[in-house]
Amino acid sequence: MRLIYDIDGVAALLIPAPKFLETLTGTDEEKLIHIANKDLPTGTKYEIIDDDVNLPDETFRNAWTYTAGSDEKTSADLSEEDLAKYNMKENL
Amino acid sequence: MSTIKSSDEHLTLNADGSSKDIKFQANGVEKASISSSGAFTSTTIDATKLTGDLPAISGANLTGVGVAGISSSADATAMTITSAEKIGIGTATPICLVELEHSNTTALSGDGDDSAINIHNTGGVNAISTISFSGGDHNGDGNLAGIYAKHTNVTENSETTDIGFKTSVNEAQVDNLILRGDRGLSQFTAKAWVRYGGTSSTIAVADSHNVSSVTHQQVGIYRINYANNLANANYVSFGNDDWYGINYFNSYTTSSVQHTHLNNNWTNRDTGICTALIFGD
Repeated sequence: MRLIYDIDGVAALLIPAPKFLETLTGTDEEKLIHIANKDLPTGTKYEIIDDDVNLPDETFRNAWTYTAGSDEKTSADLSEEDLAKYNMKENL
Repeated sequence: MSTIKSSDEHLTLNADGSSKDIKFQANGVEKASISSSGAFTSTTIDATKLTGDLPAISGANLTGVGVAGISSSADATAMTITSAEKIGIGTATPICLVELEHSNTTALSGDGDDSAINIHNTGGVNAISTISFSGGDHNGDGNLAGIYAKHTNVTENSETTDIGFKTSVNEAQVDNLILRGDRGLSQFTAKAWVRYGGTSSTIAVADSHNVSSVTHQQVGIYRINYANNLANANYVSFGNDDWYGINYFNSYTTSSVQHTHLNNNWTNRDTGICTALIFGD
């Protein structure tokens, strides 16, 4: 599973590192939500897509845009415990 | 059988004279005695006939007593084994399997005379001392084995502190900080590394350390997100790829860095294998 979201008008794809996924608990979707909360700025709109979703022609990759789908989510703040665990001191 | 008996009064055996002992013989051979000072001596004691509590006996007098291989010369409680099978040294109420408690405030000396634990190897020039941790589930989550040190204050001692551990107050005074678990990092080990690559359709992270994800932003432009933030953004990066190896890093932050790969005509290009190595605080 991957995350798709917007960076400056271009669609970006976030791929989780398998080793990091191993450290998380919960369903695959819950793990991706946690990564979104961690790696995306708080308030970023995104969607979780399966690995087998067909993406557009790569020839025009820089013209891809993110369009909100039916299951759009918004990244949230991590807990203080997670912020401390990830050494994200500036957010504490 | 002959019996000395007194039913209505105390029975007194009196060795009446200075330094005269009361002796018990069997077949003409002395088996036990009570000295004039009250010391009881016997050739053997049948423990099956003993009842009641033993009197307090100085540990100094217990040398060689008890389980073979254990000797004690202590005259006060040095170690306590609780009913929960926890061992306390310096404490009668251990909170874990083995707890050492002391109130030492003296700086360590050369051989660790003031340490709570000192491993001293007498093996000579090839001496090796090891503390090992083992178990069945090493997933790199840092939960199975580790060393955890928590202080309220740390004073730098460059002569004796080779490795320091994370403290709650002053990490800067520790010579080589090691953080918790698999993220155990120092300035002489990689803070993060990752092997990834591909287009948006094929991108994958093959392996990594201290990396939570990689974002494909545009053609040839990837952002590496750290699992645990670096202490500051003044770190060193090194990268490569399986095309022309033309790549650069920019947008350094404590939580991520951007890694861009190019073709030999200086246009951005998605690359099948990209590698990145990060050193820093």
